[in-house]
Amino acid sequence: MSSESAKPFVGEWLAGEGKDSDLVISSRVRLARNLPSIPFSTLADDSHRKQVADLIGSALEGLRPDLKLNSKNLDDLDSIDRQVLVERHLVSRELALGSGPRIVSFDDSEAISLMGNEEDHLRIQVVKSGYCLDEAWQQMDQLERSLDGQLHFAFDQQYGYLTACPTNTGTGLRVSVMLHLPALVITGQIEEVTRAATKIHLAVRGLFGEGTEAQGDFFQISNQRTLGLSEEEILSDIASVLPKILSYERKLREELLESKREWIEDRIGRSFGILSHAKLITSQEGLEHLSLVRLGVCMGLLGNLTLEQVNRMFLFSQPGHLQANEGRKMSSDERDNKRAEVLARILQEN
Amino acid sequence: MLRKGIKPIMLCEKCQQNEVAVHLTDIAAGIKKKYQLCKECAAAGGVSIHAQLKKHKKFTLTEFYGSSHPESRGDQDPTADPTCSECGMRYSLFRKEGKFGCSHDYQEFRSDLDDLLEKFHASSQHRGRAPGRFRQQVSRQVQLDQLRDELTQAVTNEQFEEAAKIRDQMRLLESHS
Repeated sequence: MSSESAKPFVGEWLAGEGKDSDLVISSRVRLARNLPSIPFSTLADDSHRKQVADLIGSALEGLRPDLKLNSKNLDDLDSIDRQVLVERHLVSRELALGSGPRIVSFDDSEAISLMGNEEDHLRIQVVKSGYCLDEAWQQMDQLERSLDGQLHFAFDQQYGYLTACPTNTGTGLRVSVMLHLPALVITGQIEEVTRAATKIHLAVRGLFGEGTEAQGDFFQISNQRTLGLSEEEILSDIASVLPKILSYERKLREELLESKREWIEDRIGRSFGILSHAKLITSQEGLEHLSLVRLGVCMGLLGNLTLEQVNRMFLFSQPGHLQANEGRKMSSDERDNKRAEVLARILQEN
Repeated sequence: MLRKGIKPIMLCEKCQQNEVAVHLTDIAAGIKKKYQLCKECAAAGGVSIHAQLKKHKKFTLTEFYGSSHPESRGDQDPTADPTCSECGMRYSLFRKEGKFGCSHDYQEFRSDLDDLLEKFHASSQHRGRAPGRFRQQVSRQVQLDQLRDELTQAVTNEQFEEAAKIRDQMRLLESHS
C-alpha cells in the first residue's frame, strides 16, 4: 500500500474532470445492505464478522472479472495505510478504527469501493469526478443487482432494506456531492445555502461526511431521508437544488472579479506564495490556502496550474499520504515540513 | 447463531470500566480524534457533558428520540421493554444508542417503529427498489398505495365514476396477492 500511494496515481474522482468540476469535486452514491440472522456491528463478535467477511468475499468473487477489484483485510494493514484509505474516501473512519475482520475492496480507478463489516455488513459506494450522479447511480444499480443475486439482503416489505441505524432504513441510499464553495463563504452567503438545503431535508457536512465539520470551503451535501422515497426521487432531490447552489457560487465569483478584483487576486496570490515557499504548513492551513488556489485556477488567475494538480496537492498533503510516502510514522512537526515540501514540489511542476 | 441476552454496553476507552457517556471529537493541528469516555473520565479531562452539548448544538439521534422515548411517555407501562428473541437487544437500549442489534429487531420492535421512522423520514413505508425475490410483491404494494391515494382524491373531488374504476383496479391487484 505504501508504495502504491507513493506513485503519482490518484483515484478517478480526483481527476478534476467531469461536468461542473470547477465546483463539484465528486459525486457519490452509497448503499447500506445487511445479511439476515447475523448481528449488526453493535453486537457482532469476531466470529460473526468473519462470517460476514467470508460471505461478502465469495460474493465479490462472483462479480464481473473486468471490475478487477482489489480486496484487503483492514487488520492486515498498518495504521498509516488505513489512514491512506480514509483520505482516499475508500473506507470510512469507523471501518479504519474498528476491530476484527473488516474488508475493503476497490477497483483500480478507485471509483467503486465495498466495505465489509462497517456499521452495516456491507456498504457499497461509487464515486465519480465532477457532477455525475446519474452515471454513478447506474453503475451502482448494476453492481447491487449482481450482488443481490448472490447475497440475500435483509429486507422487509414495509421498511425496505434493514440497516443498523434507522437513519439509513429503506433504500439505504446516501447520495452526496462534494462541493467547493469559497465565494459563498467569503461573502457570508453560505448559511443561506445551508438553511435552504436543510429545509428540503438535505444535510450539509464536512469533507469526510457524517460528524465532520466543513473545512477550507469544502462541503458535502447529502440526503437525510432514506425511507418513503424511491432511489430516483432521492437523486432528483439533490439534482433539484444543486444547479441553484452552483449558479449562486458562480454569480458571486463573477461579482468578486468585477467589484473586488485586486482584493481577491491578492488573497489568491498570497495563498499561492505561501504554498510555494513556506517550510512548515499544518493540515488546516494547507487546506485553507489550497481552497484559494483552487479558486484561482477556476477563475483563470493562476496560469497553467490545473485542477488535477490542485487535487493531487490536496490528497498528497494529508497526514496518511505524507507518512506512507516516507514509509514511516512522522511527528506533527515533521509532517508540517514534509507537507510544505510536497505542496511546493507539485506547484513547481509547471 | 445469534448470541442471546447480550447487553451491548460500550466501555469507556480510558478506564475500561464505566459505560460510555461522552463521544468527543477533538481537532488539533487539523487532525481529528474521537474519544468515547465515561462521565468521570470526561470530567477528569476537563469536559462536562453540558459544555459539550452547548458547544456542539447539533441535531443528535438522542435528541430526536427524546420526546417519544418510552421513559418519557406516560401512557406506557414503564416495565415493558421488548427484547429481540434473536440478538437480545432491548428496546430501551436501542432507543438510547440509536442502533439496532440485528435485522430481526425491526420485527420485534415493529409496534413502536412507525412513529420513530415517520419522525425522521416523514414516512414508514419503503417505496424504493427491492431484492429480486421480493420485487413483484413490492411493486404490487406500491401500485396499491398509489391507487389508494388516487381513490381518496377522486372521492374528495366527487368523481365517483372514476373512484369506482380505481376501486375495481385495486380489487384486481389484491386478488393476485
